[in-house]
Amino acid sequence: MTSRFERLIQEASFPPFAERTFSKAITPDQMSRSRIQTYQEEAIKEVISRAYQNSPFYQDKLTQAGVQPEDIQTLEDLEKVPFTTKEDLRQDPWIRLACDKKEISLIHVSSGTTGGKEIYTPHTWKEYYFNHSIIYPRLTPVKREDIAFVALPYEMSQSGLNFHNLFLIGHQATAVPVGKGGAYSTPEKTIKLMKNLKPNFIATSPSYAIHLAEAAEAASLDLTTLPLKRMFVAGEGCSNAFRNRLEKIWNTTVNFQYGATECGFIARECDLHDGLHITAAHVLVEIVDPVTGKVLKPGEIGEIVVTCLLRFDTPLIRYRTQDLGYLNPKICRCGVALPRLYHLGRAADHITLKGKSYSPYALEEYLIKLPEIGNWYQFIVQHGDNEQLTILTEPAHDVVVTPELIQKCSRQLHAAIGVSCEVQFVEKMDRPMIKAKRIKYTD
Amino acid sequence: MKYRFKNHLRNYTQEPILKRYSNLTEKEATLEKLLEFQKDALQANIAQAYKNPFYYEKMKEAGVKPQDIKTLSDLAKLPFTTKDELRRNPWQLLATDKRDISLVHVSTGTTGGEEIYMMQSWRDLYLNEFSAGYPHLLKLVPGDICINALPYEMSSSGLAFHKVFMEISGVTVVPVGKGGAYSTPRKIVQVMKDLQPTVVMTTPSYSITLAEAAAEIGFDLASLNLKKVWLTGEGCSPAFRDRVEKIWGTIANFYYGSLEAMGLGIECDYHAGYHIPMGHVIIEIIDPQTGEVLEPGEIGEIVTTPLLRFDTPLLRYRTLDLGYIDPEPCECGMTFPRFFMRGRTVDQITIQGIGFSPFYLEEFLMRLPEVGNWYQFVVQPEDNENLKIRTELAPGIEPTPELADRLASKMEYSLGIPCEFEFQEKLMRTGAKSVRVVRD
Repeated sequence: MTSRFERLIQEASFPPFAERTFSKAITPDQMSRSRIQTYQEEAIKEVISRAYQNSPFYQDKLTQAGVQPEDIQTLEDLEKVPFTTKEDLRQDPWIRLACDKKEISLIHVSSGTTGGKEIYTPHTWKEYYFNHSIIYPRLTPVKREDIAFVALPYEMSQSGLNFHNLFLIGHQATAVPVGKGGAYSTPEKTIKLMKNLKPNFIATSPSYAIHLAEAAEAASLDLTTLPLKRMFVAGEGCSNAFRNRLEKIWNTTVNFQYGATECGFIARECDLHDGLHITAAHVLVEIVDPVTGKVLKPGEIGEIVVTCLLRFDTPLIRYRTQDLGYLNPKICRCGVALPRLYHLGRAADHITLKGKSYSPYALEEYLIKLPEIGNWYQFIVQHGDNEQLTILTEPAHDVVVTPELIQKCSRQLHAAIGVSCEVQFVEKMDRPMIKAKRIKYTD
Repeated sequence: MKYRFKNHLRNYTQEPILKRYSNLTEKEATLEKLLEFQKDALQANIAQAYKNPFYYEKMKEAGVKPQDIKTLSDLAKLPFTTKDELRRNPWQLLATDKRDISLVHVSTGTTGGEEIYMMQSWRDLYLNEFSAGYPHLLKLVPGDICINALPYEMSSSGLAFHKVFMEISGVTVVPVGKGGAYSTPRKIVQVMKDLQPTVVMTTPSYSITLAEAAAEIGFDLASLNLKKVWLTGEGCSPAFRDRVEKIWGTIANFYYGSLEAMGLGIECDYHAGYHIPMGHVIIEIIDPQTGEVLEPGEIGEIVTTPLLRFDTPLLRYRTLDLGYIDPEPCECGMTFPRFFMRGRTVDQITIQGIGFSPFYLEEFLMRLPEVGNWYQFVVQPEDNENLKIRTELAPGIEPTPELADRLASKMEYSLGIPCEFEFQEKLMRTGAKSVRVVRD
């Protein structure tokens, strides 16, 4: 006899196109570009036809747009399908159901950083399981003997549990659910656990990695003595310059993982740090003009739109993430043929300076490149256009703040960004346990 | 590739003795059958423990060999395991290779001292389960929506119930957590409003925190038509539970567990002690001083031997909790023995030389309708002349010296010890376990 869990995994069948593609040893990050494309084409047909059959929400949407499942034969045809917006998903917690409500095993709740009503993301057990079964070991080289810390929130949104199961189900590694905040999780305690258990991988957010580093310093733990193989950062974006600091502090390679509660993992970096490889077995990514909705060409910046390819019980088709980015179809030097995405942050977070829009990560890049600037800062701006950029920041360790230094930093930033900047130093900034607030609006 | 996980599990086999019990229906899982299972499982655990240097040494010192344990009563020959022993080394209980460990949890630190690490191997987490389960007690059916408002991080409580909901009972779980970056009481109330759950799993104090958040937005929790609130993580008195049941408009049952020993007791709807999940754990009551096993009905320290953690076995673990066992069948129809909790040894309050469980004191306090849901006993670690109670008042009650006198004399009448009240407008609500006993 087997355990209930074994029975569950034995009963979990994959859709035929996925079964065909992944029954052999090949992983998506070993596939050629043409094979990825063939797979995605098969997937998209299946996704659309099953959504049309089983999801009242999508049946209505497709009918209203005058689209029949058979109209979708190629990836280009997907453009005919209407978008799914956050507003659509907010209407009803069960709007995504294309199965019996009883089949739902897990429900995640959006973090609410974009505001508005909660968005619910239900999962059936078998889809949750097979979404975690398909892995990208060239991008996430986690082995079963590794110890992986998950220092992300487990509650409400998907981030902690998603990494938890990536490590457990996907890579059969040992998971340590240290969490981020919560009743029992503090940076100090997490550091103590690191000292005792010696992790090989850590999944956390860029700002929490600094929290942890500060706690390590207070506890006199030299982070460079940990046997870390990689750190994965998610939840917030950050600039390369900030990442470089993390790599130096933690003495390991730091790679980005981009995802969203509504659709799971979307893309992750390889060690070359030149864009994020789309996890193309799970999602199809399009870039669209946020105003016209037209699909943009590779290299053009627009809104990231995601279609889940392995979710039929709770499908998500052409979901507008409100994040900005662009695609790079060139094969990466790392050899992984999965197309790359450059993630530029949320459209709502972009800062307008003298009529030009900037990604906060681009601005951070210039700021954090200055060695005198500490790891906690905020851009002080107003919505709409700004004549100048004010930056509130801590100085780096052992840096003495003088009027000359303020002037020097302000001038350097002005030269780099092309807009007048005013740097204001404070001794200590707030350290929020939730997503770091890098932008403060004065209006 | 899709079979990686499945293949990985094939590296492991279910503990052989479990096969003999895996077809048991609830009906077949009689007390007699379970005692037989406990004996077999105990022997398998001891054989594993003997592979672990810590237990090997311990058993050698005590002059016990695995083959000396022939019956359940032979368990008393084995030495105890204390919290302090577990604090020495994170890998202390390992009876397998480190790479066979799937999940590591760590203690909450409420008793202080170094962290206690508890681990589960792949086979213990995914393969080694006792099949009969306790459907009579849990009553979860597909279609149930369970709000899991327990901490998911560090300790095991949130994730352990998460697994029970998702993989054992096959119901829907909403991991709202308790505290944490994105989890606020207000948001949890919103989620409950939106999803209309049937079951809520949380701690007694957090159930009040959630109720306060619901009141702030004018939402009546009783309108949810919950089947049940499960309380765990902290104890509380029957009077406090009555308040919880009234606020939530449903029955509230306790589920007693610990990081070290996992599930230890489940209340039925009769609220007559904890039914021992005998497929999961052996419970003994011992004299805390002499270590002798006590008779049913005698109060002592609860000692647990979990039965389904073969790769990180834990033998005769001293919980520091107090209680007694009642072997009589329960009104609910179950014949398994039950145990009754009497609080933790470390939490006992001494007043005029008499030891009191804080839950006993709370019982009388919570029966006073003027007293709010947040309070503290302010006492010294040693003996106290009187019991000082710092408390909030129920909504609409005016704090007056007369009221303090009246409440104090009511408490004194019930308890036989002098009491003193101090009213506070608002006491701290902690995200961690609620602090009911403050050492001055």
